[in-house]
Amino acid sequence: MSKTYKEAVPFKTILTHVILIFLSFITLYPVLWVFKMAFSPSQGFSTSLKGSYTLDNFITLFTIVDSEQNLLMVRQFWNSIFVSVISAFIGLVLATSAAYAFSRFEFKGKKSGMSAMLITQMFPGVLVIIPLYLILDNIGLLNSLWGLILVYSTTTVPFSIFMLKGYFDTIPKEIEEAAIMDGASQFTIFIKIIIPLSRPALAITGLFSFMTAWNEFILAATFMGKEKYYTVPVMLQSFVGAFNTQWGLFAAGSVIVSLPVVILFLYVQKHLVGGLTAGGIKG
Amino acid sequence: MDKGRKKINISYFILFTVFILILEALLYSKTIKMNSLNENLFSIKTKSNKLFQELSVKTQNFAPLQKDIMPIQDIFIFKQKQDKRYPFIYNRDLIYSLTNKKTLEENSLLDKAIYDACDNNKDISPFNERYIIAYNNEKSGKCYSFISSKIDKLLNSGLPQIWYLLIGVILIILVSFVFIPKNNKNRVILSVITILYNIFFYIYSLIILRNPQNIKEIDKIISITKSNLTQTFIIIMILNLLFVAFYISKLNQKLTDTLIKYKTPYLYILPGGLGIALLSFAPLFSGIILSFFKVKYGNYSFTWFENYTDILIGGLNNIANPEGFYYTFFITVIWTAVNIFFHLSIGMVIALVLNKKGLKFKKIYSIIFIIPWAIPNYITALIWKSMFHKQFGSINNFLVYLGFDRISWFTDTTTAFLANLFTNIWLGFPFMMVMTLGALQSIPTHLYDAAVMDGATKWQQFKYITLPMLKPALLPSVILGIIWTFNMFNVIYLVSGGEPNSSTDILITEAYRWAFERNGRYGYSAAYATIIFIVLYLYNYVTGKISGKGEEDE
Repeated sequence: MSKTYKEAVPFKTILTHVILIFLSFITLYPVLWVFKMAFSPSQGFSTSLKGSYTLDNFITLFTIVDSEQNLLMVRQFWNSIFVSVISAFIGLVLATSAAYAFSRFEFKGKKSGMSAMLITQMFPGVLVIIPLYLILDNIGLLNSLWGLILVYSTTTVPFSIFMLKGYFDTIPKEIEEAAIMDGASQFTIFIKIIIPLSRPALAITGLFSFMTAWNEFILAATFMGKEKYYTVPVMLQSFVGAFNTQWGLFAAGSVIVSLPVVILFLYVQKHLVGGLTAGGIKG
Repeated sequence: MDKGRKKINISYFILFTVFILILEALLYSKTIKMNSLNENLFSIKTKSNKLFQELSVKTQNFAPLQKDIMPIQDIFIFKQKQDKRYPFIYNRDLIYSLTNKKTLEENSLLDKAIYDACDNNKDISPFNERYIIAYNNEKSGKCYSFISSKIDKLLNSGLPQIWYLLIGVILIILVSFVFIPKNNKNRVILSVITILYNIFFYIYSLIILRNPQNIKEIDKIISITKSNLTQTFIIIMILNLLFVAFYISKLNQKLTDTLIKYKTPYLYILPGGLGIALLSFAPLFSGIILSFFKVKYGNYSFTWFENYTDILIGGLNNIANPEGFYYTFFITVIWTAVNIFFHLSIGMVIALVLNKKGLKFKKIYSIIFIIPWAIPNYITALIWKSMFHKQFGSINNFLVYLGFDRISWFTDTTTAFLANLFTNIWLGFPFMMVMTLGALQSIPTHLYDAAVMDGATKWQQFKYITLPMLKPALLPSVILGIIWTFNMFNVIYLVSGGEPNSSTDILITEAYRWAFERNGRYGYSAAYATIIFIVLYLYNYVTGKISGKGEEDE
């Protein structure tokens, strides 16, 4: 029980903590900076974390009106929610049934189907943005929330299929076999057994699709030409335009947009990691 | 029994054919109506143009017109061009007008309509030019206006539908030749039928079109945007395909058998598969097709590989030219390599520290370090952009505090690149950290116990146990991380915006700019995108081989 030994250990631990706290500070600094800007009274930058705090930016943000006196930001929030929820739902429905087929059946083209899904993961949205733009233009869905929903709902489907297939594979087949013995049809099994059993996986996949749509910026910025059809990301970017930069509004908007998704993300993050490596690389 | 089955098939077949033919006839008649409206607009244009010239020569003013030309009083067509220096200002040139008022100002309602049209379209849309059509209707007394980027094309368009028809016919012939067995002469008959009825309807529409008359109400011009035409032809093509599919299903027994055998799984996959096919693969293929076209001011001309040769061996290809392909490619590779290096090393170090046994507040730290990953990355990019602001950004403030000068981050290639880099490192290390943490947990502890018994130092443990064990687990994440970084559009586009002079652009932002910020050169941009896709595909192929090999070795 020598004193020197006891002291040596805490020193190392303290050093580790100091380094970690320093790194945490660097990591959190941009976040603090945004919070500071959001709650500061001016539209410009604030130079330090000290100073007065107000809710003005938030109030201004939600009372922005367009030329017809409609509440613009409220409408855009609604656009974002509407688009994200509907496209997440459609994407989930499409992915669930496909994942079930990939998990439970043997059929011709199964392998090539899976590798086709992988290929879609290789080209990001920007690559197909021109064809999509021309397609939406031609079928008259440019400047329409439904055009955006159409595009969003399928972008996450391949990933969702990988996630859900992985989960369905873990559900023992004996349950279904028993149900078949009782005379249940394939579809009844899918609806009444598989879906209720995989509720958590469905929730996480749905949340992921929701977040993808909620965070999407470039497709929305390209396809939506009118302010009243903007989603929140496009509006936030327009606050930081080249001519009049409204940092306070941008920061306030960022806080409101990010908080829910950050919390959601911290919640589903663990489950995503498995899906990412399994789906992203191996087939 | 066999015979009986065939009979039923034939009656079904005839019914189906008749149904399709009627539907198509209806659709064609709709198209013909639209086309005559189109023609009508064309005649307005020629008439008003002529008139406008005459009037401006004679009186310098607009004279009253005979009202019997149209049931409209006034029509103005403006061409609007975005001012190059101030994107919010539009220069407006009158190109066609047909009016009985002397000036536009006298017709305040119409004037307002035009301004409304402009106001509702304060857009960031990629059009450099657009057209405003404003008119009022005598009957209703109302003013209308609408904006179109393609009105010029609409006015001058010939008959684009022949292309749709040709594509449709070629597609059908191709499909039928692939799927119908060789010795079956039905495939010839099928092709002939399809060609014949398409040609029939086309000629029919031509005959009607040569007879411009009837539909006079200008209100309907609004409904003849090109989208309606396209919608019609998409439906026609789908019907054509259905027709062929039905035919094939009766003729190719093998295919039908497979479909019936695996009916259930195919039905489950159908909705999702269809969505992916239409919205992922169809755009991909049409993008590749588009890359063979030259697009200038909305006109498409087929040029084989000219876009590719322009990109790869064209005039822009001085290695020092920031808009050239090789320069951008070079930047992209450097960007990816440096990013991945930092992501991996920072992520790994933090993970190793956090993995220490008995470390307190482990959970809190790991949540803090995940936050950059959790924030939407467009917001991250914009936050960092603000932090790099020359006068007020906190980074320059910090530099001043340390006694340095303020840096104008986005006017120099190196500093702009560094700004992008910092942002993306901050953004990307959490992913690698999380992946490393996961992998570390799977290393069995008895390996370390044994090493300690053998007297190995900490560094030796890391070198001979941790690193080799991490390698296979981290390889997929690295491969994925490289793809993500290679295509990190948001950071480049929002932080430096390619400044100065697009010298910090990577391939993907450069491709975007060619399409949406440099006169809509869709074909050129599509060729760019195709090249990126090929590069990524090759990369994936090679890494797939490597990681596959690695697995075999184990």
